[in-house]
Amino acid sequence: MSESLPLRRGLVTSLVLLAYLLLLADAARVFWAAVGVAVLGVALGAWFRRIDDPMFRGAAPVMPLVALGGIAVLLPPTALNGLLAGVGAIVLLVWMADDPRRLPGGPGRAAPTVTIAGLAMALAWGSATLLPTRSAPLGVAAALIVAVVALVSVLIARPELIGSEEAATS
Amino acid sequence: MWTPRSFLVAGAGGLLMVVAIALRDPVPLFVALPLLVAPLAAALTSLGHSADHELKWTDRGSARDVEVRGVVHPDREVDAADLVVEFETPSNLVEAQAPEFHRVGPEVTFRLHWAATEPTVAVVSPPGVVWRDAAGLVERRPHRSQDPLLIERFPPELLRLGRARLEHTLALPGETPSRRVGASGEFFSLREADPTEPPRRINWRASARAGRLLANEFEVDRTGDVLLIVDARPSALGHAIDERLLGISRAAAFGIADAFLRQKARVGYASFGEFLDTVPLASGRAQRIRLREAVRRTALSRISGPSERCAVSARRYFPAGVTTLLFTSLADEPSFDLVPHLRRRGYSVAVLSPSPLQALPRTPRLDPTAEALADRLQRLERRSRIARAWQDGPVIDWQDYWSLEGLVSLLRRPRAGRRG
Repeated sequence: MSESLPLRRGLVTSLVLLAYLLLLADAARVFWAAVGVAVLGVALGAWFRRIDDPMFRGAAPVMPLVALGGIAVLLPPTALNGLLAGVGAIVLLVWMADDPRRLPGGPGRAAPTVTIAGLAMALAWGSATLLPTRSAPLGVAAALIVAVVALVSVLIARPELIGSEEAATS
Repeated sequence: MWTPRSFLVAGAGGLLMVVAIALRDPVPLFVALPLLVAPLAAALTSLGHSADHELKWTDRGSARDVEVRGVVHPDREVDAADLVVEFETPSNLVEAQAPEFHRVGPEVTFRLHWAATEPTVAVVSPPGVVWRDAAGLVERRPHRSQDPLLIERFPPELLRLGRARLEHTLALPGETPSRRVGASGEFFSLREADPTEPPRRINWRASARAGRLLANEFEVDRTGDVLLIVDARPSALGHAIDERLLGISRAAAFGIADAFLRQKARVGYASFGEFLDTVPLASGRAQRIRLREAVRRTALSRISGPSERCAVSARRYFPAGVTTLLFTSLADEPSFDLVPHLRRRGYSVAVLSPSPLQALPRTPRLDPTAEALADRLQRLERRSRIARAWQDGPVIDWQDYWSLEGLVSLLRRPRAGRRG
């Protein structure tokens, strides 16, 4: 397909991601380096995913991923920074779902995936920071048990999700 | 099935985890966790989705325009927004406009605009339909494959080939139906009208009732056999030009075969590369399918078979006296040899030779005067080749690939008597 894309497609999530990375950069140990990485990463990612070539589109998430990882390394190790960095990864997933070459509404359709990833991050952060040090493994185990029970409940409620072969005689 | 993006995201998550452990810094760990979980979450949430679909597509264009319209209807109630439909433009067609895709409910409708630069029989592979989650982490491919679409574009004169005179090779041919309108013709059946159908063949009352154009088919007394031989040997022109000329010859052969089959004439087909690949003389719809497959199979051979082998082999499958059309470029000696060998074995041969001059690339280093001179020399050489071939049988120098007027007038010309 060689059709030209409207400029606004995917722009909002790109701006949100940039703003969030700049927010993280504000807390970074080397401010200007973090800002540079954030701007460069998001700009290149946003540009690459608008290019018609599948190779460029495939490589588009690499730059924001590098930017987020780089900023995360530059952040001082505090509980709040951990939470903010984790939310940054969620924002990045939302940015990936808002592909300008696909139909609008991608973030909405990707909500289940993003929610599960966000819940995992929240559980991990909560276990690591809110529980007493000795109870952290207990919190992780409880979270895993809850997740497994929820998954089994969903699969029992909707067995068609597992999939079944049609009978040859039906 | 996880996409490469999934591996990228999970790989980045794993790398961040290693960095976090190495630096004893928990912050990258919190970034890593959603990235590691996201592919698993995407796989979990995609369990109910499938890319299995029903494809209905058709070629609506005419002449050089190719307009493919179709609908992809998923088997399950999946969100059409997550169905990715991708087409590959066949090598012998060019994209005229960007493809149009519309999501209507669970269906994806599409319209492709291509153009045929020359007569062609193009095979359009079924679209790649993939269900891909919105984040692009997981995709599902259909379990069953769809049939390809065949696009046939021939010169329009082939629709008027009905009055061609063919050599009779059957003792009692009997009455065979034809789509030609004639005084002796009787109504035979209705059929879908072609886009270039003459108005007098349209059954307007039936068309009004059906809501689409229908044409009459008539029966007249007619019979005859025609043999189409395509020279698929490599020539001195080089692989690229040989391929292109062979593609044009294949399209013309199939168009001519189709035109004669619609009159219920018997049509045989042979392609000669190293050996002769044949479809014996027959008529009817099954023969059309056989011919279509044979034409699709015809490819440029790597080894050039001797011309006499073609004539000897042809005699095993086809009776002498059949009106024979030979498709060859007449670019080198072996292609010249075919005609006398075929005539010696009793075939009445006419040569349809697609001119390689239109396919030859321009020499960029020549100035306009030198280029005009080179062009003139090439034309003179071509004329001398055609003149030489005329010594053995009639030759149509096919210069304008979209016109077969020369062939039509040759086939309609009254014959003085059987030669050869």
